[in-house]
Amino acid sequence: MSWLVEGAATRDDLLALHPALAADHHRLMDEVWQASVDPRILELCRLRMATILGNQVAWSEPRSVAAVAAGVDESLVASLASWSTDPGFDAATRVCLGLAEQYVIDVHGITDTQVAEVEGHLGPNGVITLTTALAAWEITHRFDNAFLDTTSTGAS
Amino acid sequence: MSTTPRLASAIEGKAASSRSIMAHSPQVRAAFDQMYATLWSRGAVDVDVKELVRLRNARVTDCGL
Repeated sequence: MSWLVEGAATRDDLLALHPALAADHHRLMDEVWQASVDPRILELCRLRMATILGNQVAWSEPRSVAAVAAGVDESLVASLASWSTDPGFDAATRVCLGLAEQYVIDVHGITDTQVAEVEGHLGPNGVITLTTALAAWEITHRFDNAFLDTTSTGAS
Repeated sequence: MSTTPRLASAIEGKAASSRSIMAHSPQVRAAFDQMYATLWSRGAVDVDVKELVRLRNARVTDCGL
């Protein structure tokens, strides 16, 4: 439920107040999920950002379709808080999660080395896709936090 | 914070800039541009208010651009 509009219960309900923007937002996310970056990595980054920003909605909604289709590993999702020490996370996923965390905690703290490492795994196309995705998810998570009541969700 | 571009330009003959760097992922860039254009051109909020919000956000996030 949202305090903004009576009867609005979801992000899509609220975005429907601005149909053109809703359509563009969906198109951007579609392009991100269909781009070259492994959707499993993208989903882990999305959820990690949600935890840092305290967005319970992102945890309670279904996993992203592309990530499920790619076989996202729910054991890794459950271990996300310990990604930096858990050996189940591969090198590419680690550098992306590191960038995602730094992006949301203090974007000015991102280092040349971090970006070079991500580029080494994903290529320049992947860097652009990932950083655009991080920007879009930061918007989405903050939007959810601002407008949706998350107290009734059972997210972890 | 970096003082030099961290990716090369994707456009031959063009210096690295946010536009030429984002050209590495043209479809994502196009979708982003479309959403950004809609933010500015559509909706109930006056453009001058949007600009004030943009500048305030840039100040808060320390965006030098």
